[in-house]
Amino acid sequence: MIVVRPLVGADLDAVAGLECALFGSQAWSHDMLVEELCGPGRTYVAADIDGDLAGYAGVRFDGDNADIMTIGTSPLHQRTGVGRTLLRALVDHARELGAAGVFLEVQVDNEIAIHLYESEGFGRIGRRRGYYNGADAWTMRLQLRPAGGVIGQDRTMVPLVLGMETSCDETGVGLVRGGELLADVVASSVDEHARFGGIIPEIASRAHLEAMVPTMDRALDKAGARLADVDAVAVTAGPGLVGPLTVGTAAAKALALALDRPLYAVNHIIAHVVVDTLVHGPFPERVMALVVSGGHSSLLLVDDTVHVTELGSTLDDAAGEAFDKVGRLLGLPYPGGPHIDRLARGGNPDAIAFPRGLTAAKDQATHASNFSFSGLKTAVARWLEARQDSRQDIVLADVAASFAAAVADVLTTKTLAACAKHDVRTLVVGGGFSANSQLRDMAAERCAEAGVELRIPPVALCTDNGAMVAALGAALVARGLPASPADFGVDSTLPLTQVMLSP
Amino acid sequence: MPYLALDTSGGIAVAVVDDDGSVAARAADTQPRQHAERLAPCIAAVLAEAGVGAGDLDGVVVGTGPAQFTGLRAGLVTARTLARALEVPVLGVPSFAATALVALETLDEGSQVVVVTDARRHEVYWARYARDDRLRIRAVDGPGVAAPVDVPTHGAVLVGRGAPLVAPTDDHLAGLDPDPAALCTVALALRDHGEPTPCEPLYLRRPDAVPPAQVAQVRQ
Repeated sequence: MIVVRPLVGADLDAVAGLECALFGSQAWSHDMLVEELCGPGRTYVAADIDGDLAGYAGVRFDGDNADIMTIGTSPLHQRTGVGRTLLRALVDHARELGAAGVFLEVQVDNEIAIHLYESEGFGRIGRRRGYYNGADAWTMRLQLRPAGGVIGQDRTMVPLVLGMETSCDETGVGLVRGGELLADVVASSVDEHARFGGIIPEIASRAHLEAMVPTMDRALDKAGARLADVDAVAVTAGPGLVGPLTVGTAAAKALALALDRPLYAVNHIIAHVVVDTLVHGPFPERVMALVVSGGHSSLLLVDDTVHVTELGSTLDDAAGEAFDKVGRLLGLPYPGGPHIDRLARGGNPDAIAFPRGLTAAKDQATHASNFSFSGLKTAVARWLEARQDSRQDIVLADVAASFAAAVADVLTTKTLAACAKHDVRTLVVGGGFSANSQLRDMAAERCAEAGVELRIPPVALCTDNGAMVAALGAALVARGLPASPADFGVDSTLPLTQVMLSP
Repeated sequence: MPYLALDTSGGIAVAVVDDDGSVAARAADTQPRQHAERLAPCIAAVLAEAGVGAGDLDGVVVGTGPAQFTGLRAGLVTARTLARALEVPVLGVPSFAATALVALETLDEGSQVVVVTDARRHEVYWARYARDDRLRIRAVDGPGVAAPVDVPTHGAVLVGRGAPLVAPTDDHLAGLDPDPAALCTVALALRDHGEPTPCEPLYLRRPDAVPPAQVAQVRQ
């Protein structure tokens, strides 16, 4: 049984011995321990098992927040819950003192400790370069008081970031503090485009101008925040449609100018990936990301949340685009994606053997991680024509199910092959098309088989929104990166490796 | 009690204007299609030159066109967002009114002007203005978009960058762009007389969008 009690002077020799065993050259000496124990605001506790010192830990309270100074567990008692017991004792103590939050640093490769902290509710808020003799550390935080009540009073903690998104037909404004989503409001002009069978940039741009300020007001209202509380602004700089992007970037620049806050011009596609941190917590050091939407199908390796390597993308149509085009072939309303999804749920995915683009052995040398959906769309068109010419019945649900299965099969097969090749154990799927249920189901099944953790944000955060822009902005702010230059322009073809427009 | 006035119907024109109409600082940037890049830095530079903090502004005045849509929207969304963030009013005035005010001050009393700019596609934007005792200036006809030969000039003096597309005119008058200080003068006159100053863009054209031809429906 683990007994927690205050650490006393008589423990110091035993603690000094443990320090040497655990931390080697970085161990605190006996004298340093005495000084630390007597320091202002310090509280140190010991954990005993059967009368032996099994571990010790300390916290410093500065009047606002608590910092965990150390947690050490004897090599004889590791993995027995001593660390967790000590951590909980310190958090309870911080809570009793009225701390707003508890902070700690942990070396980025200490997965056991990181897992312990995350399982106790700590979130990663920043990375400190070379904190431990050259090794990086995560700064982690557990919020003890609710964020809603501390906005404005608690600016020293984690910055409040407002994100604006206008790359296509959704005007989105989101508010994020650290990894916490405070508000996400979207105004869409999709209904105005439906009768044209596609997005009309000028219609979208006009709608953005009208929706921008009201959407911002609704988001602030929802978060219970004032503009004066905003610490940084983030905006989509590309890729996307020039006219719509121009409205958002001009608004964001005006806001940053009026508030005298830094502005981060960010990549829309990477924001589709990072939005998942608002739902499922910080990313591990490296994740695989599949971004699928009406305009994009890309496979990315993401390190430390904001460093991106592009492994591949579609050579022709995006996955969502293929769905919309096949929807038109099937006489379904625009946008076709959700209609095919619904139809497909009642059909047989094995009814028709549609082709799987770029999956042949000969394509693997150069196109293992690239996609092609144009041939599939043509195959569906040819199949329908042949059936109509021969006056055979067409079961729409089977066509939809077989087509959707072909798309999901190609996406998941290639993505999991890339996970295996790069030894990545976490997959994040983002973008509007990740709402597709055939893709979700197949990815869940195959990831489980492959032992890969699958992270897909809820549908509301998969489509374009401001929260994803704020999430990426918050990640850039947390890493201490400098803001974008004041005269940046929109970039409709912003490369996926360029996460933000840097000075 | 300074106002910020900005217009993006041509290039970028920004001024900080004091209550008495005097210009504390101004800047113009004639680069076309650089509004998203350059407008905010231009505003920051003009405020700095005037020694005015954004929080000191009493209001924002913006030209509402007519003009190329993308640049026009950059100006309008900038003005609206600034005004919202600073919690001050935003006043919208047709950009043509500023051009007309400056031109009419150089012409005989009783003159009228037709402001003309290039609307591309072999058309021009136009509007006819006269002096007004109460509001300084008033629109007599327009604004509209038309082929140059169809602009109803009614003998008025042609001004603005598009004037030569309609008929030969004085170089000085054809070189006039909307002056943000004049825009501010018109806006404050309208406000002082309780007239509306809508911050809505004068597009004058509908978006180019045609519903697609019906595709062959698949029979089930």
